[in-house]
Amino acid sequence: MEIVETDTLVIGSGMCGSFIGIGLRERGFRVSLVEMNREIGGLAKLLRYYKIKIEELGEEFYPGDYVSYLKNRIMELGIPLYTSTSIIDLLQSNKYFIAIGVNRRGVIEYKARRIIIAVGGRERTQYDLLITGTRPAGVFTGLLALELVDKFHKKIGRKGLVLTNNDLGLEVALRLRESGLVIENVVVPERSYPLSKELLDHLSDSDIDLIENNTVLEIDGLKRVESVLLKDLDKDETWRAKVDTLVISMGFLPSIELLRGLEIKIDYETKAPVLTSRLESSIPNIFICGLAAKPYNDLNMALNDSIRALLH
Amino acid sequence: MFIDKLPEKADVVIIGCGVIGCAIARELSKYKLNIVAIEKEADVGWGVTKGNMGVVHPFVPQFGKIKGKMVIEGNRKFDEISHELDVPFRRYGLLIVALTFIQLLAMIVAYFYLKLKGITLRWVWRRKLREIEPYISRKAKAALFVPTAGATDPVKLAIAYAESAVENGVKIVTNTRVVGFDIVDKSIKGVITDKGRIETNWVINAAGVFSDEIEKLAGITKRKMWHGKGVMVIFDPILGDMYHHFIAPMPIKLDPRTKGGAIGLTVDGIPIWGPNLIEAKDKFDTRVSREDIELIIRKFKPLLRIFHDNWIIKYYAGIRPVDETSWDFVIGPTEIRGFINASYILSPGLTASQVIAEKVIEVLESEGLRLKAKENFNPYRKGIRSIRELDINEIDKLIHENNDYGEIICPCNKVTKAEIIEAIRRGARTIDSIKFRTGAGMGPCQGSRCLARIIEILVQETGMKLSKVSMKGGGSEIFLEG
Ligand SMILES: Cc1cc2nc3c(=O)[nH]c(=O)nc-3n(C[C@H](O)[C@H](O)[C@H](O)COP(=O)(O)OP(=O)(O)OC[C@H]3O[C@@H](n4cnc5c(N)ncnc54)[C@H](O)[C@@H]3O)c2cc1C
Repeated sequence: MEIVETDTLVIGSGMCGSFIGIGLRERGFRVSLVEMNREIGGLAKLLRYYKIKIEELGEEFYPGDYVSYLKNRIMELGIPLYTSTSIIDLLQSNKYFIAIGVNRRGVIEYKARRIIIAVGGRERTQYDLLITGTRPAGVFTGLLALELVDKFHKKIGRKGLVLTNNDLGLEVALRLRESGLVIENVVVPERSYPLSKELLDHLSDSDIDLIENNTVLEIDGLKRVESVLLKDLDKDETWRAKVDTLVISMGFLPSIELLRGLEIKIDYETKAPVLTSRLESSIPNIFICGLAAKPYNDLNMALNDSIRALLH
Repeated sequence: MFIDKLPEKADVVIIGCGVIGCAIARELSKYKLNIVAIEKEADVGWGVTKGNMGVVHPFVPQFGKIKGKMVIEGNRKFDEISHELDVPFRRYGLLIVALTFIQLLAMIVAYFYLKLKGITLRWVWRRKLREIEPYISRKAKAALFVPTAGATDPVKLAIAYAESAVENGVKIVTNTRVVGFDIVDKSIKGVITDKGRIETNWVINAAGVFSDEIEKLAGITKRKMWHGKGVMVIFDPILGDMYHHFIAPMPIKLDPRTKGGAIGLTVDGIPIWGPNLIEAKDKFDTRVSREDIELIIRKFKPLLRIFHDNWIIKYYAGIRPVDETSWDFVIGPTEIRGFINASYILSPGLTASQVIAEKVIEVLESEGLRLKAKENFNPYRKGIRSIRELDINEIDKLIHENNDYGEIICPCNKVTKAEIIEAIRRGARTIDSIKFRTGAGMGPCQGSRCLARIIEILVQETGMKLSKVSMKGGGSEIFLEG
């Protein structure tokens, strides 16, 4: 069993964790990064159009450029980075925290005085949204849909509908359209913030209709989606769309698997850990940032909130 | 593990590989017989068995019925069965709770009645109840504690019976549907399927919700099936510490829509509530509506002081095949010689599965099938090893033996690549088959973080075409051409 000692261990080297790790290193802290995937960058690796805006740098990045930026900085600063390694448990001794990691070579024990949990979130599923009916194939969360299309270069359906309240969903619709899936409609129950004008223009150039103030109630179809039942929230009327694919991109909920071991306090109403304004959890010296901190609909918001709280 | 090609002949053909058909297959594999079990789906356990709550019931109130007797014996046998088959099983115990004075009165009667029937139980007063369940409603006056109630994993149990049966010589043919029979002089001579004919003198109807159709194919028409849908709601594992037993309200009025059911835990300690009982439109109607979910929450939430029912992660439904006249299992011979029923197996069929299987053997023998015990029957079967219950030294060792154990694929349930490969090695060819064997995709994110990796592994391990990858067999493909 390998043992690694460090001051600050950042768990999750996605869009947020990497940036925070870099920032802390720049400020003189001893930092190590862990990442469960082969590469860092998290969700940014899946995106193409969504612009990442970092207030601190006063810069906008395309997702690919942002990932390159992160990779370069990690290299330049010589931050120890453990990829393909999953942290499966957190323990506490009187002096430090122990994070149990596994990878193909075995178990690694990370000993750290400070932990930053940046494990991201999961997109809301049809169950989180109480979309009822049947449970056939053909229902995907937005990022899963992108991952499938990217990885396998195959269409995940013929005719689909995207349910979203955020920019990410607009990108999902555009990209699925490029993959050959006919996206008839993007359905927006309510905007969680002003949607990007650029993405909206791109959408109308691609002949995708945006239908606002509507939502999906039910899924129909035994083996594969056959149709979905929608509701017009203004008119209070239901209507049906004949599609074989439903893509749901309705924001994120924090990943909380890791919080159980140390019994880090959770607010059961918001489904998020209880945090101070500095993002410190109920256990001193454990910080939680990015999409893991609270439910977010927008990535930039999660990113900039965390940078402000942890690096200023 | 399972085969696609139908053999030409068998001594006994079992129709349907739910938990019942699989249990019968394994029980029959103790004898020197050539046994074939036929299943229309891509895998075993996807019928009624999949839409199950996983409770190993201590009893059901209908003590006089066949199910009433079998459930008690089945519960008693569960330690042995789960040990032999390496299937998860935990005796959480059941608390039947009185919140009102009327319930309390009814409970006093129930206490003596159940005692009389030989059920192990204890009376628990309010103070003690609050000690063992700190979140129990403040209105709770007392409870009956039945320690033998337990939980298992229904599909894993069906798979385990099936794997043990195959290990002992049974042939399980999947993706094959029974469409008719060869009957001469009111005796079974063969079974017709969509893949051809198989010669046999004995068939066992274990077709679950299709039991009535199988009977009709043989010209047996005296029973009518009622379809009793039940919905279950699963909550985030984070709420798994809110209570530690099954908790049910003491029933007074038997409102058919809300009859039965409980606050429960899956065998992995995840809160599961339900089921209700409503009429399904047809055999495929496993739809869940918002009303179903609300009904379940409204019924059970008063049992607890606090519960965060905003953490629903999944809901699903199953259909109970009910013989309208008896509301009981139908096990035994029929007017067609060689056609044996193990059908209309409603709740608590999962609990009673082993007992039902043993009963079917008795029936076959008394109907004239010659049974000779095998000397080399192996009762033991091993489940798929996971890192979840291991300490870090054991995990380290396991990864050194097989480094696929170091690659977590499903972050919600900590399922590794090794388990997924093992599931595929044991015959899983669909996403659901992998899910039911390993738990990958059953957590809060419902597979949204692991599906792509699982598809990749499935394709790598089997050489399967991407266009053939499906959630649950033909028609549920993930990628669509054209
Ligand atoms: C909502 C609900 C909750 C329940 N909860 C519990 C519980 O907590 N505890 C408990 O003990 N019991 C419970 N039960 C009861 C239990 O699930 C059933 O008794 C049991 O699963 C029945 O199994 P089976 O093998 O008879 O049926 P099935 O699992 O349906 O198996 C029949 C199989 O036959 C196949 N088949 C059908 N027709 C054909 C054909 N023509 N050709 C080939 N194959 C065919 C089907 O595909 C299916 O796989 C519950 C049931 C429901 C509906």
